[in-house]
Amino acid sequence: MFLNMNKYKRANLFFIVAFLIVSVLTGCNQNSDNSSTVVSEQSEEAAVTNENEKESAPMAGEITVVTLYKENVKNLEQAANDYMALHEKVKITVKQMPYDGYGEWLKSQFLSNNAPEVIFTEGANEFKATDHIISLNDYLEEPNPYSNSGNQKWKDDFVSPYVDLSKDAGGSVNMVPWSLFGIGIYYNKGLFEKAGISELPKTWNEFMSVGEKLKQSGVIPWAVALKPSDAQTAWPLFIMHAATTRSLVPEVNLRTADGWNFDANNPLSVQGETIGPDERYVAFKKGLIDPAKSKAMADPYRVMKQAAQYMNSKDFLAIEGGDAINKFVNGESAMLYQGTWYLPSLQTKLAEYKANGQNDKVFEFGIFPFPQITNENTDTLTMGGVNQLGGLRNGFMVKKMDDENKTKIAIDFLKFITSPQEADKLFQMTDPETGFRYITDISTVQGVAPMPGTEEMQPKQEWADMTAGGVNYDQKDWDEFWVQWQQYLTDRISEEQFLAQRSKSNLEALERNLKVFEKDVDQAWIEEQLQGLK
Amino acid sequence: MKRGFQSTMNHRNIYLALIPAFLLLSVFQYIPFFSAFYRAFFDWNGAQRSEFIGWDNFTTLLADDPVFIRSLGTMGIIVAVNLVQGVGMALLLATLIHHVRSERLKYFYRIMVIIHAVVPSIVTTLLWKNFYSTDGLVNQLLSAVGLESYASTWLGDERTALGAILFLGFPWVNGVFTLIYLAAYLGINPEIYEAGRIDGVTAWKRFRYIEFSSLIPQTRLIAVLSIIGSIQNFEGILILTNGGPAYSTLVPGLMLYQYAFKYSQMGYASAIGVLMFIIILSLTLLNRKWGANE
Repeated sequence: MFLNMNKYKRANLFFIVAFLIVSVLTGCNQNSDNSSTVVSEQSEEAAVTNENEKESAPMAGEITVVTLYKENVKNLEQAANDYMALHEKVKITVKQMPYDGYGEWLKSQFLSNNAPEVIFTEGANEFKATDHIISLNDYLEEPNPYSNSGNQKWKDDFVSPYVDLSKDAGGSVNMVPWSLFGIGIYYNKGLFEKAGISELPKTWNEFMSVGEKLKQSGVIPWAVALKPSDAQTAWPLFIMHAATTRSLVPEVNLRTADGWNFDANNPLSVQGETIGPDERYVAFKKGLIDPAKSKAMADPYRVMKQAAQYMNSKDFLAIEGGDAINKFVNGESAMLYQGTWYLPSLQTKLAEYKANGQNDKVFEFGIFPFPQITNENTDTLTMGGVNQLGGLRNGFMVKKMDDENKTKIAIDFLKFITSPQEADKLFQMTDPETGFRYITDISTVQGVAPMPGTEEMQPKQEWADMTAGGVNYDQKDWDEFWVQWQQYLTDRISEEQFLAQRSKSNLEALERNLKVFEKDVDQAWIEEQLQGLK
Repeated sequence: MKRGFQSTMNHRNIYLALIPAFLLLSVFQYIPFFSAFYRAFFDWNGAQRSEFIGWDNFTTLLADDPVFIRSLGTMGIIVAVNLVQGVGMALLLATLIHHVRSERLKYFYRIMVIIHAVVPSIVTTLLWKNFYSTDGLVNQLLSAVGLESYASTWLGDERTALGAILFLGFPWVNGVFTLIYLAAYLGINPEIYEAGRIDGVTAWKRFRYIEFSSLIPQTRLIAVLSIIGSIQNFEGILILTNGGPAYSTLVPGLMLYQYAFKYSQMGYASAIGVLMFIIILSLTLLNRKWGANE
């Protein structure tokens, strides 16, 4: 047939076939090129996937989390279950360690190599110093894959500045922060109303008028025990001294890191700085922090003395801390200075009264921050005011391990439970028997709502606190403080005698510290600083 | 000499059996006791830091520590009052029980004086702490009899705290001391009583010249035990006042404990211990001298 065609037809057919062949061949070539690209991309993807799979391979392993609080076991078990639902090959066991002497218990566990992988604790630095736990700095810079906050770094999910403030002197963060304690004044709303108090006191002077009104109404304004078993009257001194001696910090903290600058308005500016025993001793000898010579040291004592008339002065030398609490719970006193940790027992007690039909004992309570002292009370507040007492209460530390997989699980679990949504869930959990929250402290994770009523106890750090001079410098000084404080508040010794006794006790304590911390003390530096001083 | 050695060898098993007990006593009692004399001359924190400071601890204690001097005074008061309480009440009770005619009643009273010894002393102390509280039994009793103006914060006021501690345990019946006296009464020869009756002695003269003179060795023993106990024991004070308020109930024993275990000043605590030992030894020697003169 092909041969029977005419010349033109044969030529046309030839070109058509040729075109088709070329087209097919070209197409095949093109396909062939595409195929090779796909194969190449596929192999690259496969390589990346393999790498990723290695990174994000389903985690498998077993870790133990130990807590020191009984009330946290349920929350942690819930967190462990939630985590295990996401990671089927991981097993997390939650255990409780003894609260009393838990530090000693942990030391023995570390020494016998039986320590759990994740430890919920109130302090971690001593275990970092002994190299038993890992530094968390690098991990906190990583993203938290469980967080919905949108933050780039895990550490940014926490309330500022607690991650940074929890660093040890070497700059290492040793604990993933979990909760903050706050301290405020619990008050009996009924007794306040009865005394005609409609506004809560914000300043010290307002606080004094509230005390007077309560006293006139026939109740004890403020229940305290004047003993170390109830440090209510010492807590205000801690925060007041930090504020009144703030301007002295640059004069007291003389041996600083290179280029250090103190910024009273920036709480982080004191990070990593510590006042050593030799610096304190020199400051004392110069009279900067000597209660007998320094107004900044003496004024907080004078201010607190004004409140003694509104305390249960009849028996505050005889009763213990627990008795002071009972006076508030029984409605004998209108105020109590206590922390977030006290909330569950107060709620439980009031619920007990209600359940027992003792409705006359049930009262509504509220909490307000400790009143601010102002320039009307002291002229030493030249750099900011008084920060509320509070701070980091607890967190999680991770054991130093050879097994990288366990470390990875431990860190991943901590990222999971500190993700805002999981933390919020855990903080909201309530005990089905009492109906109260397991955790009454304030979360360190941003966005977790505090328990209703505790909003005012949020420990705001507005100013840098380094406490140039404090109430006491060792245990003996602390014991002596209580004897002197008791005598001063009960008018058995004068202000002058009290300050002289404090001065003597402080100096003796500082001298003892020079011996105790002999290795860190630079005697030549002390002599140089005190040269020419009488 | 040779016979003595032979005798020891003959009973060597007994001597060998004593060794473990004395070894343990040495480790836990004698070495710490004697080392306290040595450590009292050091500034020692109980661990690494130990610096020889000669008599400094003693001179500070006696010349520069008004709290310690005050605690010595408090201890003196406690020792004196406890001595009167311990000897007096036990002697009175033993004398009364001894003169009960019914043997069954005597037996009953003997049981009664000793039975409260089964109650741990800490329970008694805590009970008294409760009695002394602001709304405790003591103040309630005072209010009930119209003496509410005398109600006080017994343990919280430095004017009343020491008195409250001395009153603790009223009526201060010491069962063991009473039994010691009762046992001594049984040793008095009935013929002496008979002779006294014939001579027509009064009850007081019988007690003074017949009974008490026979009970002097027991009185000396009880006095020594009471003095040592009063100087050494501080648990009650620790629980009730912890030495306060304002050091008004602080005693050297409690100070020793605080310096050793709270302030880690073991050298200073050892010096307090040495001074306490010297005081106990002196009082015991005085007692012995009194006994020798008798």
